[in-house]
Amino acid sequence: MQRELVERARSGDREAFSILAGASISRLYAVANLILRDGDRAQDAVQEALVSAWRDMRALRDLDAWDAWLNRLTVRACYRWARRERRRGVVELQLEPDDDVAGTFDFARDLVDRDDLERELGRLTIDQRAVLVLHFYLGLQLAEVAGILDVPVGTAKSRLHRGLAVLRDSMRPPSVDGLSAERTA
Amino acid sequence: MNTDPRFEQRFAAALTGIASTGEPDGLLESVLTTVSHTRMRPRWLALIKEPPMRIHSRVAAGSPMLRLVAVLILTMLLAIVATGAVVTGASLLPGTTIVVAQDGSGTVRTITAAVAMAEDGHTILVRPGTYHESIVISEDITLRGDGDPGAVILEFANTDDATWTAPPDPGFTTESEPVTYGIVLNDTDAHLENITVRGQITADPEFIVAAVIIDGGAPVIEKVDVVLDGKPYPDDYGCHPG
Repeated sequence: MQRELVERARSGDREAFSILAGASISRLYAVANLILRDGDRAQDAVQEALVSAWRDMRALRDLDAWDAWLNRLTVRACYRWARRERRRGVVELQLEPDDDVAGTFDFARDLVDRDDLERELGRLTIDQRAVLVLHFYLGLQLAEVAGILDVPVGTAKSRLHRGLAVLRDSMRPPSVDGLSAERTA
Repeated sequence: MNTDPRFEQRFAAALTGIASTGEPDGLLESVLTTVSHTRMRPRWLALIKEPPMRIHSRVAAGSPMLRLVAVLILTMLLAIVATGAVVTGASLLPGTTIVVAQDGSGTVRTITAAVAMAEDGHTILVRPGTYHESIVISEDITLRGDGDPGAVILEFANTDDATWTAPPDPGFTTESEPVTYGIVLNDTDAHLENITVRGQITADPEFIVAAVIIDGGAPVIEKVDVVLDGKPYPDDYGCHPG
């Protein structure tokens, strides 16, 4: 079904493209939002990616690569938006550790504090976040992640490990009974 | 480095937990409205490889003294460039204009020779004529036709001597394949202006012909006409990737 829609869209069928875009837009927005940590910029990145997809649809040879291609375009658009922000002097992509809360974060809690996790993600570089999101949220293999990011697999692996190490450092060791300790912050 | 599967599982679950679900109001409508005004690019006109994803860090300014020296050097260079000198030898300065003219009245007679001389910041001004060449631009230069785009023609031939091999790219190409080209903009922020690129489409449908190939970088293309098989290609080709 998707393959047929992609073929129709590639022939210039806007209706087919609108169905494809509608089926993908939530996933793409979630990815962009996790990478950029900004809803407005994430919307801009997704819009840019989908318009690029339409504009260059005729270049898409492998009809089965539609999803992979959209992921790639979206991540690239995220990088472009991050770069624009960087050029404008916005440097909040990588936050400084907050001494009051660093070391108190625990994924083992039943209810993960959304703000805490988002804060921890903010301590990562966009390179690290992109790898973590593609690998852990989209479930892509590291080889695919490396292909999307245009880096060697070893680089993707290194970014993954460094990102996880930063997050792991923020975790409080679980208490003996496996429950997280009370927060002290 | 050691991995911790339990930690990774917990992180994956937590990440999914904070990911947004659904789309923001109006996003799809906005995309489709833009798409309704956007024309598709033909594959054989230009093979696009998006710019590599690098976040260019700002180079931190040095000490006040270093900055002063930099300003002085820049001022001297600007003063030299302001003379508008057209030089004919080596050691070209930024802002230099290299003139290409087939009748020998310019710096060189071929665009290829001019491109070989040019470095970042240089301008190549091509006098009217038909130039039978295929060129690869890898520097941040300006290549400008002198006058009307129709008067300055780069005509490329389908030859094995002028093929560009695009790397495999998910969705685009499943394997590396050669593309015959007129102009390749190779990871450059070059400006291409006022020129007609002319060529022939081969009978073999699998053989890819691209008048202009953008392979990375963020080139700017203005007033570039493409003519294939004698027919002008009416595409909005003033693309500016990235």
